[in-house]
Amino acid sequence: MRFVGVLQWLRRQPLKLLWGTVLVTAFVIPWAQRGQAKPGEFYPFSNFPMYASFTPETYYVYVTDLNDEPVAVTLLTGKVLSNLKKQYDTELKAQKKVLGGSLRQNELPLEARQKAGEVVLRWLLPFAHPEPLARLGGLKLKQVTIDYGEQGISKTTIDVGEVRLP
Amino acid sequence: MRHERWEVLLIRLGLAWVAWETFQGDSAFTGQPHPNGIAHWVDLTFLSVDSTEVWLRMAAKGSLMAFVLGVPSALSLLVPTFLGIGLFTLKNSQGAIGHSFQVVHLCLLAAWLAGVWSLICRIQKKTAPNGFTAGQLEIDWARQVLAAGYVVSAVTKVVVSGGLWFRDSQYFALHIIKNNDMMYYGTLQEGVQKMAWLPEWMMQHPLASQVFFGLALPLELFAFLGCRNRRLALVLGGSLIAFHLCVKQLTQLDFVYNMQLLLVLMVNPVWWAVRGYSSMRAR
Repeated sequence: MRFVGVLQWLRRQPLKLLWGTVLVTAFVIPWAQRGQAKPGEFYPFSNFPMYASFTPETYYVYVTDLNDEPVAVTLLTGKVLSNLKKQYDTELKAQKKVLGGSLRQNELPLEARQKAGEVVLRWLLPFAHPEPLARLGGLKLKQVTIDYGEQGISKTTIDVGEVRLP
Repeated sequence: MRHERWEVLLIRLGLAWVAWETFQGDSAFTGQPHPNGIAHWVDLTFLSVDSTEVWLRMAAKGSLMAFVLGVPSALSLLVPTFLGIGLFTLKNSQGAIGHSFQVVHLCLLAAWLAGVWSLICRIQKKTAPNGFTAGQLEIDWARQVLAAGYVVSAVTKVVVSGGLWFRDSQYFALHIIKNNDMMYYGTLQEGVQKMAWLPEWMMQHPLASQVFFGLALPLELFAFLGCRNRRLALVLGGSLIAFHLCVKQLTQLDFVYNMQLLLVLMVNPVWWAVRGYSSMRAR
């Protein structure tokens, strides 16, 4: 009887679709996908995890030539750097899974980051205009960590991948 | 909210205008290395084959025109809804998940489901929910899922941050630097970096930035109120558009489709203009 009463109460509620969508998108899908790299993402449903939490540290990536000179990657490949960063992030998660244990993503060793970075660069190469890419001879991926400490905001750059054209 | 017949026509036009943009261009994906959504079970790469894709995109655009002309959405939104979901599922299965288009296809899906539900009600000789016509129900359901997206975003902020989103929001400053730098390194054009002074200022005045960014959370959380009546829809819709414009200035993240849908489904400026004109004439 109580279950029937709950059902009747639910039927009387306005905005049933809205609350149903909230329930499914914010809780059911993330729970059902809890073992996956991006729990909560099931197109067109998303729990919008971007900027959901903040820490005193974040990072981004950019691309250089083999002499460490920055390359305008959007003009070269049509890809924006936020896209590359997401790809790199996905590959870092894969590396984290391979290494196992209780490592956090920002504690991954440099070798693991370089493996992830090279996967990203190899994914990127086919999108590049062939002539300027041939002149560059290859690409490097740099990771810049931005953190906030006693000295204020600081940036640290490391090499996380390199591919040379054959 | 019960929309008049002419409003339904205009809002359908608005929905089609927003959706149209998602069928421009061409995709070139030959695999789905990081499957997302239905790509876990279905190989969607056939949608990216030129000979198929061109025709499907044309069919989707033709269907959107039929939708505007009044063809029942159960039929006219079938191709745009499922082609849109398929194409962008494939795009999001490349390893980088974007969040620009979900809202468009979620609204299309809701409108299509409303059309199907209206049809079922008619076959069973029942009235649709709230006595709505099919067109009114489409708009109501599309508006509900649009608002739901904001509520979900707020809930995720609370859950993922362990309730500390407000306290930690001063670190948003680091993301402003990140986005500015990425814009610069993408094109190497100096002019793209905006408000370079702001991050340091935010870190020095944490309370001010916490209050400013903290406002985003209740605004998203109470977005559902925008489905209650036209005044609240105007206030919430207008505030959320202002919020998106601020985010665009600060982070260079542009949620243009969200803003367009808020304008069409919540702010509904034409209705307010007509009402204002009628009031003036009555005086």
